[in-house]
Amino acid sequence: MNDRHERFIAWLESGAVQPLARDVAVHAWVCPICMGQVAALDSLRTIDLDRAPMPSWQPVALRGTGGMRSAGQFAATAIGVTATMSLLAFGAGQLIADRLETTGQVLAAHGTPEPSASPSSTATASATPSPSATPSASPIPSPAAAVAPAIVVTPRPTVRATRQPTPRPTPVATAAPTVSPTPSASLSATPSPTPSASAPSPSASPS
Amino acid sequence: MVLSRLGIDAACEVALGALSTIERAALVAVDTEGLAPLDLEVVLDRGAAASRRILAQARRRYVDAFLAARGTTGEPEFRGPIANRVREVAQVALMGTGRPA
Repeated sequence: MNDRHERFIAWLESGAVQPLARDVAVHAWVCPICMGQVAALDSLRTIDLDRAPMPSWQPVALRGTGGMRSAGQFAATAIGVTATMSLLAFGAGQLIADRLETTGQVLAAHGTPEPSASPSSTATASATPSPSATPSASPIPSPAAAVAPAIVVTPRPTVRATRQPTPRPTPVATAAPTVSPTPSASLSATPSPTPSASAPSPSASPS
Repeated sequence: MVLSRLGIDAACEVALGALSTIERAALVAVDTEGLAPLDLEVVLDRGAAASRRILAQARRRYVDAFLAARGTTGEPEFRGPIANRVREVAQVALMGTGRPA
């Protein structure tokens, strides 16, 4: 009796797929405990899922995740902007540093020829950029060192001294005396004779 | 009620509610939707032995909860496929032997 009962329970728990022995089936048919378990498992198999309504097509709003999602988007945006700005600052710093290095090299390149011009042997190469001095002293092409420093110094002060004094005195002295005397003399003379001449003429005619 | 429209009575609903999620998934997948054991392994994301163990435990717990919810005095209804199969086998056995059970 107990063996058949346990065999039937084991058959039910295995899914009721395997073939059922006749003696076990006869026992289960008359056993209320076994048939109660059969009714329990049959209640699952009588469920008709085709009667279920279709799910709603409208999207369901998630209440709790709205703030979290916006906070996550804000954090991701902030991180991206910060990374972009740091990359831009780093790149700009690199460009500025490179430009400063090149500028320093250029300044260093301009600075070195000036002290090298004073010695006599290198002055022949650096004396060529000052050809303004050569026309005044024309016989200088071939001699290199002894003549060049004396010519460079002399022409500069002579040009500046001649240009400055000439334009300044001429416009200031001529403008003031010519304009002021002519309008003051003509206005004071014309109004006074006309009223004095018209008044005595009617009074003199009746007498 | 949606569940009553599907043919789920109160005892069945209580018994299903007494199971865990994975047990309920296993029981509904096999005994209601009729999925194969290989499909159950995919549904549960477990191996074959674990799926069989979970399904057997779910059936045992469901039967206990169902009988507790219906009560011992409730009249069982033998209209399901398992009950029909047991009755058919029992009738064949009784008619073959010629002896009453």
